[in-house]
Amino acid sequence: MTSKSWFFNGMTEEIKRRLWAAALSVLVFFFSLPVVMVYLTTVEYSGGDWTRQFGADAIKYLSYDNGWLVFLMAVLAALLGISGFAYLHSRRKVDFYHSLPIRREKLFAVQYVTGALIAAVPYLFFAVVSAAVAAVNGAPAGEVFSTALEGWAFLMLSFMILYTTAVIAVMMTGNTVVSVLGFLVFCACIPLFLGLWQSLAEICLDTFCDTNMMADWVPRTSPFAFYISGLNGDLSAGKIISRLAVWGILLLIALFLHKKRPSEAAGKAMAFSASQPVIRILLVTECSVAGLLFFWTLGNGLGWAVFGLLAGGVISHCVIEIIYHFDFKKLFSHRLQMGLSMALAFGFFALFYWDLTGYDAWIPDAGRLESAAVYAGNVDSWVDVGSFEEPGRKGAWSWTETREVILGRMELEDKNLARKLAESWQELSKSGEEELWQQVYVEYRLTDGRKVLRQYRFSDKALQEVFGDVYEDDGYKKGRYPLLDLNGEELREVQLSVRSNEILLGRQKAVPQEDLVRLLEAYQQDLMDLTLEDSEETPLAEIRFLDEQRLKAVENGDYRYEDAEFYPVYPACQRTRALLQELGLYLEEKTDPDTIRSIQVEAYVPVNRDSGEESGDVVLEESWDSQYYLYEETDREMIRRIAEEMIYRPYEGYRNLYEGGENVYLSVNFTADSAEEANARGDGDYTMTDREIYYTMQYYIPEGKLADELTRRAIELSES
Amino acid sequence: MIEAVNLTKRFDDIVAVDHVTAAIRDGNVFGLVGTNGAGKSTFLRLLSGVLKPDEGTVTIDGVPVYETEEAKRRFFYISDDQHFLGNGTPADMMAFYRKCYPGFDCGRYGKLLDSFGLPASRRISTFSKGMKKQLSVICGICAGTDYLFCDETFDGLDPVMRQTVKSLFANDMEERNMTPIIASHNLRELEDICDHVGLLHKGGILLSRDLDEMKTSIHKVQCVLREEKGEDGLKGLEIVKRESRGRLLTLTVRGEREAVEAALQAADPVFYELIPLSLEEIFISETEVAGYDIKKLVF
Repeated sequence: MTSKSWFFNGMTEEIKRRLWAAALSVLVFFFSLPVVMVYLTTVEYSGGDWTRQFGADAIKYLSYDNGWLVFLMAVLAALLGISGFAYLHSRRKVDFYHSLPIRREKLFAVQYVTGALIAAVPYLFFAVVSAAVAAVNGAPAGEVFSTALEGWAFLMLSFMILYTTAVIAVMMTGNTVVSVLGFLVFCACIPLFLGLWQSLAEICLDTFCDTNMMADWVPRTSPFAFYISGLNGDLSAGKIISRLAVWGILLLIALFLHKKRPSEAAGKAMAFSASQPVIRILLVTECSVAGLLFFWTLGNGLGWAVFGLLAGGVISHCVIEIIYHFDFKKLFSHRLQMGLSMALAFGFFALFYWDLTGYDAWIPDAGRLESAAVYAGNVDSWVDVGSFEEPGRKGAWSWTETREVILGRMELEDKNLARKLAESWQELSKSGEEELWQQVYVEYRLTDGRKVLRQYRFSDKALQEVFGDVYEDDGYKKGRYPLLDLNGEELREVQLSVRSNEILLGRQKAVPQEDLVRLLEAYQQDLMDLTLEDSEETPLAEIRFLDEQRLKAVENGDYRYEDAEFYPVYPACQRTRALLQELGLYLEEKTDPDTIRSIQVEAYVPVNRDSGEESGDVVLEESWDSQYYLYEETDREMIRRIAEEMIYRPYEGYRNLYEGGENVYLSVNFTADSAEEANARGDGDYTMTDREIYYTMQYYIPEGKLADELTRRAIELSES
Repeated sequence: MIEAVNLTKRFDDIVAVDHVTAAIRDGNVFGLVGTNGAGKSTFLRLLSGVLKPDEGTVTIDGVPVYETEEAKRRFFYISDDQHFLGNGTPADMMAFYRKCYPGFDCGRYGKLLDSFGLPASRRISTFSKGMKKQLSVICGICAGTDYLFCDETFDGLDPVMRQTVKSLFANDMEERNMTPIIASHNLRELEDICDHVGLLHKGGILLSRDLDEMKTSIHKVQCVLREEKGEDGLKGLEIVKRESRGRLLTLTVRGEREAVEAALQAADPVFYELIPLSLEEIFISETEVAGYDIKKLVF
C-alpha cells in the first residue's frame, strides 16, 4: 500500500472514529453561517439603501473579525486538539494503535490533519454557501467571496495555533481532564504571572505606570492571547508570517513530544516526569503570590500577606500533587519544592515591596538622557488629538489622544526638566506630608535607545510650582498642541465659538484668507507664549482652525467632529483678541443682565455624617453625599449681581489644574428675538410661549461670597 | 526468530522487565508464565513495539521492532484487554486490519466469524467478554502474520473455545509455520500447547527451556528398594527431589529416560515405575533447584 493511500485510508478511519466531532462541526457552522446569513436578508435597515447596508453587514459577518466565529474556532481548536489525540490517554488504545505496523509520525499526521479538516471543511463549505446567499441578495459578489475566503484562511491559520497548543497539552499529559487543565495552563500561566507582576508593581512602586509593557508581552506568552490579538485590524504580511512561524514552531514541538512520548504515560497525569517540577514550581509560586495579593489587599497588613502566601502556596501545591498522583494521600509530596516555590513567591514580593531594585529611586543620568516628554493628567486634558479614518466620510473622525500618542509627539527643549520633576517628586515623597495625587507621566528616551516611562505624583500646589517651567517649554507646547503643526497654506477656514455661538469667519464674516492665516499665526504665537497661570483662567471663546479635510467634516455635519479640536481663547491671548477685534469680532467678558429672563439656581450642600468615634470624640467628616436645592431667580438686582460673576460652564474644562469646588450652578434663560436665534444659541434647548422666546445656557458661580449667598437663598426659598 | 537481548523496562522506580534475554524460535509455541506483575505483559508490549526499551533490543530476524513497520507487519498483538474501533463491528475491524496487514485473509475471517457464531454487523461493544476474546483471536489468526502475541488470551474463554483456539493455532503452525507467543499466569493452560516456556519473576527470566527437553530430562520415579541394599544403588542418579512414605520412595531425577532406567535396574529394586511429570511439577522441580519456591511464584 502506498503511503498516500494509507494516509487517506487512515483519514477515512479517523473520521469514522470522530464522527461526532465532524457532525458537531457541520452543525455549528451551518447555524453560524448560512442560517445567520439568511436571517440577515430579512433584517429591515433604517435609512434606506437596504442592499448597501446588507452588503456591509454580510461582509462584516464573513470577515475574520467576526467575534462569534473567533470564539467558535477557539472552542473547536481545544475540542478537536484534545479529543483527537485522547487515545494516548488510554492504555488499551495505545496498545492497539502502537502495535500496528504504522509509524507514529504517520499516526500523528493522520490525526492532526483530520482534526484540522473537521473544522476547515465545514467552515469553508458554509462560508462559500453564505457568500453565495449574500451575493444572490445583492451584496457585492467579489467582495463577499473574497472576504469569506480571506476570513476562512486567516481564522484557520489562527485556529492551527490554538489547535496545536491543545495537541501539545495532550502530548504532555496522560489524562484528558489534565490535558484540559494543561491547555488552560499554557494559555493563562504566563499572562497570569505578568498580571501578578503588574499588580505588585502598581501597588508597591510609586513610579510604575508602564502597563502597556505588560499588555504587549501577553500575546507573546499565551497562545490564546496571540490568537485573539491578530483578529482585529487589517491583515498584513507580518501578521501572517508571524502566525505561520508560531504555528510551525508549535507543530515541531508537538511532533517532537509525540515522538518522545512514552506509551506507558497513558493514564498518568503527566507524560514527562521532567515537566512536573517545572509546572509545579511555576504554578505554586504564582498561586502563592496571588494568595498574598488577595489577602494583603483584603487585610491590609503584612501578616495577612504572609497568610495569603502560605494559603495560596499550600493549597495549590496539594491540589497539584493530588492531580499528579491521582491520590489524595500524596498531597504533601515534594514538600521541598513547595517550600522553594513559596520562598520564590516571597522573594518576588520582597522585590517589589522593599523596592530592592531601586525602581522608584531611579532617575536617568543627564548624560544618558537623549530626550524626554511629559504628560500631566490635569494639564491640557482638553486638547483633542485625532485623525480622519476615511477622509471625507461622515463620522470618520476618531480621537487618538492617548498618553502614548501625546508623549510620542513630544520632545522637551530642556530635557532636564523631566529629571527635575522626578527630583521634586522624590523630595515630596520623602516629606510624606501632602496628599500627592496629581499624576505626571515622564517618558525618558535614553541614549541606548530604550524608552522608560515613569509616573510622579504631586499635590495641587506642588504641581503648580513644578509644572510651570515644563508648560513654558517650547518642546512641550509643540508636542501637546497639534495645532502648532498647521501652517497657513493648509488653512481653509477659522471657526469661532463664543458661548456656543459658532461662526465661520471666512464664509459668514467674509474674512479674507490672509487674515485667517494671520489669525492662525497670532493664535499659535499666543499659545507658545502662554504661561501655566494664563491657562488656568476661563477662556472667552473657543476657536478652531480648519484645513481642507476638517472644513469638509464641518460642512458635512460630521457629528464626531462637531466639538472636536476647539482651542480656548484665554484672556491672555492678546494677539488673537486684538486681531479678532480688528476683524470686528469682540469677545465680551461680561454678560448683559438685560438679556437674562431668569436664572435657575442649583446649589449642592454637602451632608455631614458621623463617621464613628475616635478617642472619645465624635469625628465629623465631609461626605460625598449632598443635598440638592433649586430655585428660580427673577429678582433683577440679584440677576445683575449674578451676571457680573457668572462663568460659562462648558469652558470649565479649559481651565488647567482646575479642580472645581462648591460652585453654584446656573441655568440662565436668555430672551431671544426669534426662534431661530433661540435655537442656535441654546443649541436646540429653548422655550417659546405666546409672549416670549428664551433659550438656556449653563453657567456657574465659583465658590465664594456670592455662591454662599445663593446657596443660603436656595435653602431658604426651598424650605419656605 | 525473535530475539530479546538484555531487555529492560522501568516504570518510574519499578523495574518491570529486568535485563531479560530470550530467543523465540519460529514454528514453536512460546509460553510466557509468571505471577501477576511478573512482567509478562510488559515483555509482550516490548516485543510488539508498544513500549520502547530503556535498555536492550528486540529484533525479528535482526530487524529492530520499535517503530519499524517492516518488523511490525510480521506480528499481531492481542492485548489482555483488546481495543476495538469505537462503535465498530467485526466487519469494520476487518476493513481496518486489512489496510494494516497485507496478508489479512478476509475469506477466512468471514468463515471463522460464522463458525464462532459472531455476527459480522453487530456492534462489538454489545459483545460479551468471551466474544470479544474470540474476535480478537480471529483477527489475529486472519492477519496472516508470522507471529501472534497473546496476552492472557485464554482468560474469559470457555473450555470448548480454548480447545478450538488451540486447534486453530496448531493448524496455522502446521500450515504456515505461525509462532504464537502466549503469556499466561496459568501453567496448566499452556501445558498441552507450548513447545518452549519462559518463566518470568519480578521482571527477570528465571528459566527458558524447551518443554520436550524438560520432559525428557527430568522424571518422577516411584520405587521400593531392597532392604539389604538400601539406597546405595541409586548413587548413579541425579536426584533433584526425594520423598519417602514407608518403603516407597518418590524421586525426581534428572537425566535421559534410558539412563535413569538403566541406573534403576542396576540398583535392583523390588519395584520401580517412571511417571510422566506435569508441566507444573517440572517447574516446581526446576525452580526449586534454582532456589525459588515455585508454588509461591505461580500457583
